[in-house]
Amino acid sequence: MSRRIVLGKVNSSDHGIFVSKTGQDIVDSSGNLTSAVNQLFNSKASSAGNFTLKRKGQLVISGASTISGNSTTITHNLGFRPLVFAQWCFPNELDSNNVATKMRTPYSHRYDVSGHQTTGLYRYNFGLDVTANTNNVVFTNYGHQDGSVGQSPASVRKFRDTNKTGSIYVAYLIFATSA
Amino acid sequence: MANRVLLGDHPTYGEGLFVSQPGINVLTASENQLVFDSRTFRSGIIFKTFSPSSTSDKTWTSSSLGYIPAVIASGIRPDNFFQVDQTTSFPNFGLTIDFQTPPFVELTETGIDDFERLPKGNIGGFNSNTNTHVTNYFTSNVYAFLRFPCQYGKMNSSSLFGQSGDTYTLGSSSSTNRILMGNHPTYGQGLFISRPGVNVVSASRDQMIFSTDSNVGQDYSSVLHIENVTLTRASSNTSSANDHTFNYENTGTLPAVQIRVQGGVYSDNGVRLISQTNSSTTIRLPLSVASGNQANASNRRNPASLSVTAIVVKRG
Repeated sequence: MSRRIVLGKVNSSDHGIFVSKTGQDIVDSSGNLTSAVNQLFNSKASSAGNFTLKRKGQLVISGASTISGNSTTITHNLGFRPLVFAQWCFPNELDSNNVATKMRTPYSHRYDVSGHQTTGLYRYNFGLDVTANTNNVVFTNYGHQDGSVGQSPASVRKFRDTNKTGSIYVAYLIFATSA
Repeated sequence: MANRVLLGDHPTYGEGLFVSQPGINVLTASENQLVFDSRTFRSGIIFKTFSPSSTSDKTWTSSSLGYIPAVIASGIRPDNFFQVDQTTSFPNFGLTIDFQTPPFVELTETGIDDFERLPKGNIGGFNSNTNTHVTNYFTSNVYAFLRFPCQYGKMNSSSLFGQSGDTYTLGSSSSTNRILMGNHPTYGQGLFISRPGVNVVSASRDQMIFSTDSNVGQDYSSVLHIENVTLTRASSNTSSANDHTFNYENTGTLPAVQIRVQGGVYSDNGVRLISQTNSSTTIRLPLSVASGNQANASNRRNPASLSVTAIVVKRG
């Protein structure tokens, strides 16, 4: 059986918590830590910050009335810009209990077919953007379409999906990690 | 040298195991300076990493966690992620497209896919535009799945998060026996830490916030490094003058690196991974991320500089 955990001193330069993978001694025969590939946890190496959850939740954000999108702000007041994970779905991806069957990473698409005399002949936007600062996290639903839809080219219209321009359903995690 | 590990009674945070970042005294560390804090209900354990064996391999796990987890997606963008063609006699005709860094992910409890294709456009009669979203689902991509639910409909579950409210209160570390270093009756020899309120001896794998059991984090992967940097756009797609290289502890194998726009703004992105070693990664904000005639597109969402956050995942 291998010796996989050191809590304390390995040698003159290595102090901390060190854990190796199954089957690997954390300290080799020379008194040094096993190679990085065989380590599971090394308190010297990680600077990744703390995945301690500070806030979590879910949101419904309605479709936007303009191309600027429709935003919802969560105030955290952590005093640093936190690491945020957000995933979202469209309404047709909820089950009968309003639980998402599919989630997607943040993404927004803005499709603007401009005319030669005016802009915005047809605009078709959708998706989620997430911004964070030291006090707030802002979630923006870009779901929106406007312009002369009837004049838009058939090859665009056939991809149009009203599920994408309405409400979206967002889950988020805010961590005690600066990012 | 700073004292970085405390097992016992922390003067501010109470009983538990605490590890601070390199150079930070664990006794005075703020919460965002800790790399491990046993008061949390879930931690940054990576359940597994996944790279598709082929582009048709869309099953990331055969055993659901019971929720859709948060994912860190890493991969190299194809040079021509968007194809933008302009063939028009009216120069003001155009498409607006976004330059964003993939891979974008659609995720279920067991399945994974590339983000859906963007709509193509063709302005018949005046113009002929094509706007093609090239797939970014590659066997070189790495997806890291955290043991954190991130699924609409389950975020208020007290069974998954220990509490239903949005504002998260860190748990007491002294309410039950939560740290075991030795022979666990179920998982064998090792170091085990359960979530607040759960006895480490009877904790399930999903209730562990640290464990040397390989099935908690199936492949021993971990988030190793997070770095923020502001990139300046290159004068050409091949110019390395403004490249940025960041270093981290030797990971033993090539790590997965996700580039996020700092603060989480995912648009206005286009960062490329230029090269990687086990201990460093070089990234670039290229001049353009689309091919074709981009007369009306290239300037819309290609900022002169961009602040990004790199998340490095050590693969097990």
